Amino acid sequence: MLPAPKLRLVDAGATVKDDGELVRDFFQGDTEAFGELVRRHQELVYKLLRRYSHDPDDAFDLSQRAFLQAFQAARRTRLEAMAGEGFPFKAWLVRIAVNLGKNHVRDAGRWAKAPVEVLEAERSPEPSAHAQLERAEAQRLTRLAVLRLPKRQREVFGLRVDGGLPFAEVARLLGISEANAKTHFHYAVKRLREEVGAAGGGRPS
Amino acid sequence: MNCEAYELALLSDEPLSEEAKAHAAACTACAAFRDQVPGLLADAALPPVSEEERARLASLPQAVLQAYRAERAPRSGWRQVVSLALAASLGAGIASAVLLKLSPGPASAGGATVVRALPDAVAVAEPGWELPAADDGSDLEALEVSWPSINEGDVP
Repeated sequence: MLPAPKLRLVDAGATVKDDGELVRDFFQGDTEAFGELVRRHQELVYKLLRRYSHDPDDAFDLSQRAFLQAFQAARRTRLEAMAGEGFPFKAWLVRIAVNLGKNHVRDAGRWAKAPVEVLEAERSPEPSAHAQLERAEAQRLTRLAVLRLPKRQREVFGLRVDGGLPFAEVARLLGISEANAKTHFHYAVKRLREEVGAAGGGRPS
Repeated sequence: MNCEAYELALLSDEPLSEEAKAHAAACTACAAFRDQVPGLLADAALPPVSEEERARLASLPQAVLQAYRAERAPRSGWRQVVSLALAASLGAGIASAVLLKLSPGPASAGGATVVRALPDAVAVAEPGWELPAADDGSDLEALEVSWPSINEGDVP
């Protein structure tokens, strides 16, 4: 029996190449395939890396580095890509992005400044009232607590909350079961609740 | 249903079952968890990606491609220099060996001629030796890696 073709039908005979085929095409000189791969995943990568960045410029630079390292890793294993056997480019990308982000905030000075304060300060046209300050402090504590989560919990939390992905997709990208992904998320939420509560943050129930 | 199962159900993609709702109605700890988690997740979530950020993201493919090419270019040039140096030294070795072979050897004290043989390595490599392509795939040393290391992207 012949293997199933790897092209996915979208509409009226149009087809979309999978990531493995695009990687293969790029290494055969197709620049457009490269662009398509980046366009396909740039929003997820950017959303994941915003959490580890100080501002949008920072997130943009980190995203660029994540793609670059993913292509380098793909180049090292390009024969597998040529075989077209489900080259896991997106999973590589996510793994690399999360590691890059983690290293980016390794410098202790950066932990005190989540990106959001900068983004929200830029967007908030009015001076903060007391309630807004309290809310901002709760957000700051919670987001710092997210960065302190254990690696796997942080990965799952980022893909779920920042990436907005369903658990099935989170599990596929991390190479774990869906039940495992849910458990990590559950632990992450419990830990955040404890940490934020202990720090005196959070909202009243 | 116990509290652990309720919390998992609350955080999953599926709607809560009647059994789960009944549990929360009777359990103050789970009711508190149910009431607090939405606010906690809202505080943890980042603001939506702005239009300005999306506009900048549109330039990411080109930026990555330029960075990729820049990263590849110096390495290819360096490889070419090394390859040329290797070829030159090998060519010089072959030429000197051939000259030695063609020139008459010194007579021994007893009148016998000393025969100088070409080293095997030079003889094998002799005529058809080609420069490797700039991108010859010699960076495939990590082929056994089928999944990025857990530390891929880590700064050593």
